[in-house]
Amino acid sequence: MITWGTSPQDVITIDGKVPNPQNEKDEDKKNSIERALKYMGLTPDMAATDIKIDKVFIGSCTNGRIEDLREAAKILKDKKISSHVDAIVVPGSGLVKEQAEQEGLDKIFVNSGFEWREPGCSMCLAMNADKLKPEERCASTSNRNFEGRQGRGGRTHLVSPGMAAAAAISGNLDDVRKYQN
Amino acid sequence: MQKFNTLKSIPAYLPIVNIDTDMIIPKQFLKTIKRTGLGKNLFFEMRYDDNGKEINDFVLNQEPFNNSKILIAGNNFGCGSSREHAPWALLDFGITCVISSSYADIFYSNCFKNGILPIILEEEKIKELSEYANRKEEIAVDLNDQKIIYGNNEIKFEIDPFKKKCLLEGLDDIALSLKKSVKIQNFENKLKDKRPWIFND
Repeated sequence: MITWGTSPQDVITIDGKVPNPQNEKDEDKKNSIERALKYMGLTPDMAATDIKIDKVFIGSCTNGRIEDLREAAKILKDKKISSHVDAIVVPGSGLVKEQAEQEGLDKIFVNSGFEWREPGCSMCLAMNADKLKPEERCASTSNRNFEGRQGRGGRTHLVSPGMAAAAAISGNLDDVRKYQN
Repeated sequence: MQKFNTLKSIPAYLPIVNIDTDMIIPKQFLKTIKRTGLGKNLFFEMRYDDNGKEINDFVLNQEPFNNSKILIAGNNFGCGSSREHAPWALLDFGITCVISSSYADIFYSNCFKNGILPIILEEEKIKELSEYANRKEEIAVDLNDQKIIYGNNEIKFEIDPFKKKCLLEGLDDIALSLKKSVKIQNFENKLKDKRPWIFND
């Protein structure tokens, strides 16, 4: 599952398509789809896997636990992330970071091309320097995809840690099942 | 907290559903713990361009809506992050009444703690009222009688009686506690005799 729009309810499956406002009868919903597509820079009916990304963020309260980092690391092991993608991983706490380092997960992330960061404020809500530039697109394991949430004009696709790892490797939103053995 | 009784204003209409608290007041303004001064950043990203210039198309940048005290909006108003800065920003801008068909729960209760009246109406009634925004005509809100008066018509609205009383009397949670200050003081005075072991001095 991924989000395509600017509300957490705007969800499609990874083998699905971006919605077409023409298919929506309710006028308010139609306007809201149009507004979201415009903000997200997407065209109706395009395949989810055709959405190219610039950034990947793994972290936040929702997906920065040790289990989440294990899930992402499993996908990233012995793989490199796409050359046009900047990817960061921010463990959910100091304890999570320590545990992950004991398990050698930090090395897997770094070897694949991720930046291994200190726990703390990051791309969940762009209150510090960790934010998107206008029109930059991010696969993010945080929990909100509102307009401007990761920086003014920034485009957020909410995904699971495994899906974030798959997107980092492919350079576009992608099906994590391709990378699972 | 300011008392809420009656209100007359040309309403501003924002026909967008799911207006989240990030739209109402973006996160970069959350570092303050003061309730004032947030009004100029209300709806920041819709209101200003990249250079900080006002966007003329945005309703609250236009006369007479820049002085509106009533905001009419699409359903699920105030969803998203639970930040009290959202009602603070509306209030500081001058909006003391919001009209929508539904609200996010936390935003809804935060309004009452800050002297803002959030009114829930059916969608058709909202469309009807929005015409007054389009025509730049005033509507009036009477909290005591629980009605909105527009033209020769009026609509009744529902509100929890306790929340209504708090708004009418201007009571937030602290004011409600302070109303019992004699009782609190009496309790404190007796406490030392009754339970001397909890005091260190």
